[in-house]
Amino acid sequence: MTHSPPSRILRTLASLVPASHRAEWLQEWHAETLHGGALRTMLAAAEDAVRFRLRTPGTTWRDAGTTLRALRRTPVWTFSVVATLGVGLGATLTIFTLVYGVLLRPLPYADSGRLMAVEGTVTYPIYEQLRARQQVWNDVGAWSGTRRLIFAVEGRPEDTRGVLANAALFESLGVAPLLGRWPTDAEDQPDRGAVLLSWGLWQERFGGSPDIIGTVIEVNEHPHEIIGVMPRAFAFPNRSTRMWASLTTGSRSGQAWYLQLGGRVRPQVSPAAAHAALAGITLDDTSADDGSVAPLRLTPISLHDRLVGSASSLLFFQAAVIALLLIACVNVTHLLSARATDRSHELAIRAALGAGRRHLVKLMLTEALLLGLLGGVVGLGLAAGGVRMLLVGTPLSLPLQEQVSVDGPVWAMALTLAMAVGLFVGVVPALRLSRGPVNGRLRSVSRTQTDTGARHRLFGSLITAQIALALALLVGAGLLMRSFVSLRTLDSGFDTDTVFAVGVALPEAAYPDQAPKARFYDALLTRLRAVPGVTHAAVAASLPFTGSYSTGSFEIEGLTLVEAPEMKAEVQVAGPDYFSTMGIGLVTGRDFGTQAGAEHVAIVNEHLARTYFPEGDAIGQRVRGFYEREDQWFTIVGIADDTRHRGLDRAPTNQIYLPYATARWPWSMAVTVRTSGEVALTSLSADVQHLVDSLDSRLARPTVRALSDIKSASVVNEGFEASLVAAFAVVALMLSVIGIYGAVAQSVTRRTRELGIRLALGAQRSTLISGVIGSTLTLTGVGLLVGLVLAGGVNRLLATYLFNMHPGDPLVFAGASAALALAALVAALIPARRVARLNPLSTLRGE
Amino acid sequence: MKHPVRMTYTTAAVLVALEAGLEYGFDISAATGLRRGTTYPILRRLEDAGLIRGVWEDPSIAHTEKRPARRYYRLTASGHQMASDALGEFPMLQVQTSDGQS
Repeated sequence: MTHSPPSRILRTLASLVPASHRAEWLQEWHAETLHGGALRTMLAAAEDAVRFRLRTPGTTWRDAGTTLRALRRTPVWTFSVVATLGVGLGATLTIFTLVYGVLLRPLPYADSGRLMAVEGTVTYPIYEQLRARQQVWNDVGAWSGTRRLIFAVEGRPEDTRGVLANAALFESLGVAPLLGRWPTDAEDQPDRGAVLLSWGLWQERFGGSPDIIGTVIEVNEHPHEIIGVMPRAFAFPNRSTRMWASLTTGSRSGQAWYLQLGGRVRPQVSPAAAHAALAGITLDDTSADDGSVAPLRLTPISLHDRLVGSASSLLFFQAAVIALLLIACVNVTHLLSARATDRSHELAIRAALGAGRRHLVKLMLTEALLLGLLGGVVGLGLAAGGVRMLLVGTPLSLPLQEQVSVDGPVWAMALTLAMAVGLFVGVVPALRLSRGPVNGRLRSVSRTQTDTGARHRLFGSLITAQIALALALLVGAGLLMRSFVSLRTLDSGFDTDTVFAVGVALPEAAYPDQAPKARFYDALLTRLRAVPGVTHAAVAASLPFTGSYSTGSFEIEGLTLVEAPEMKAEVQVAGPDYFSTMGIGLVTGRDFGTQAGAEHVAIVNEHLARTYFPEGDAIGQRVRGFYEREDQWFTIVGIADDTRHRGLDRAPTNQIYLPYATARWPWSMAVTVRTSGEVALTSLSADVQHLVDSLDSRLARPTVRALSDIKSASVVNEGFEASLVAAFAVVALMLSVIGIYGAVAQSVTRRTRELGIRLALGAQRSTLISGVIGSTLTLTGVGLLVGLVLAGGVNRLLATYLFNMHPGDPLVFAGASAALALAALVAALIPARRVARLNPLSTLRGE
Repeated sequence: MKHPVRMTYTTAAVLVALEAGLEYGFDISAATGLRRGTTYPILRRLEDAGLIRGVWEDPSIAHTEKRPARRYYRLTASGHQMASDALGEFPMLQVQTSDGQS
């Protein structure tokens, strides 16, 4: 035989053929290779080899063949088992795919284990200090948070999402651009810079033209040369990043701004040594309001941890689907046990014909393994669809989401889980078989027999386990749902109905300081208030529910540090009419005046007033601080209701409002508009576009969003997570009901003779029915008790995800327990009713 | 009549082809239209059941024709009986066989 590829393939396939037939088989197929296509011949040979193996006596392959034929003869039963396992495995593999992609898969960069970062964000001076002092990284890469970048090629400016980054970041990551090159430090200048485009932006906005390299565009009003296009798969630090501009692009405003730092450990240094070295560096933090210098130490972490942050909810989902899988396994164990009972006569015949106990156990385990593998195939298919649906069709947003895919590691987990599940569900029926006398079953030809104590205890334990797991899932889902509802219905302190947020980006070149910006906003507000349907309009430094806020320390005139050692507050710079526009109640005092009547006044919230002026005398007091000039006092003229500006899940804290006419502003202001309720988003957007154009046609397209949508979006993850767990819990409940029904039905069938005898001896049907239901409810009660303990332990992990709720909320526990008990009752009633139709004479005659 | 191998249509087709004088697996596959991956397992089952017997061709013939030796299958007595039963159970095979022979 030659060493051609077909010959090599044949020799490989020949290993499936029993040794005694191998040489002849090989020779026979070698002759076949001369006929027809090689591929067809190889496929035919493979089929022949597999079937040969399956037919060979005394091998696992033959058992597999026997089992497959037996499964084909009972399609409904097989479908039930495979579908049940498929659902459990599918849910488990779906979540595992997310867990692996986000938490376990290495970053898509060369030698990613040597990529480190620093926890949190640092100021530009800290970045410069670290760059000068550290010696364990090749260099210090720096990048900003993802932000809005305004760029202009021809005509109207456009905006996109991007980050500011230095050259060292790209060198550290080591990903070569698809086109062009990395930036250099020399190109990072305040008056001009370099920019890299994402593949998506290059295709959509620049037509995918390779001639784009070298083109100069404006980014945030300064010229930037397009030096490269990153590969399609590159998504640093996240998928929404479409542009990487020079680090100093944002430095012209002169404000302190915050960077994330990372780097690649030098080849001669171990990651552990680099970690220790970086943690030991002391830097000078000069960001304090009073100009003092404080020592600062950084916390090194892996770059992976920096990008992922906290995704611990994934681990909770993984635990939830494993519970679901266990419930599914219990159901299948019931089904397999019933099938083993049905096949006891067949197995007895096999034993009589010489099959040993070991072979029979192997036969049953082979069946269970095959079912597990079939369930794994179904589960893998469901996982592929489930992952796609979760990532594309739902609000779920995960870090490193681009790394999530159903590939090698998921396939390996699917195979492992499928086999483990198969063994798990097969071991109980196999062990039962191994305990009793096999030959004795030939004499016991009746399918109905008394329910032995051992069998009853076994199935009782399985039902108890199912109930306990289902209760834990139901309680978790109930807590999350109540928490989410509580969040959604909470009084945020704002009246967000009919309020819209307008975003207008003012380029720094045309609006270099507050005065021209104020003129623009005043003009815009005047025109907005004239739009039909608009009742109020105002400006503010930040929008609620967006994570955008400012905090600062402050002093109260006459209050010493000893009496109030740490005074910090959320600071909101707002224009006149802000409180009316946003629906914030003014408890006492007044709103800010107009520009003409500019004063250094402040409005505080009730929380601050109660804390520092418990006797109710806040009005007229003076405060200062929060990045204003040291000698500038602001007089309190009003007290407003508390609001949850930072987020619905954040309790109100000290809040101070300063007038935009006299206070220092942040980078830009947000415009808010309240309407009468008859204005649609589309028409308002068109009006705003027209107004902005009339004021300055060079500005990028303004954005208009409903504040209620912004509020909903701020809790969309919580809502989605709660819904997902609820879906798992509902499936678990359904599987549990099916499992209980199956177990009770089996029990009634097995006890038919016993029940018939008791009826013949005068027992009341109602007593027998009560007995069947009672034993089920007893098991359910035990399961609920175990489940309560399990839920109590698991839900402590949930505590961080709950809002305004205790993980031991009695209403949720009681509701879940009642639902499960009712479901168990219904599941037991249906088979128990068969007892009512039992004819004792027929039953006894049939025996 | 009970047979040691289940009388399916494909098994019957292979038996009829053998009865018609075809002996080589490739030829039987071509004549019946069945894939070789189907034909050969049937031949193996028939051989295990004693309905056919496999023999290697004379090596000198293969050597002369410069190719590997072939294995040929022939019906045993019980195989002939089963082939007759196959025609009775699937009469269309008779028609197709006649057409093929004409």
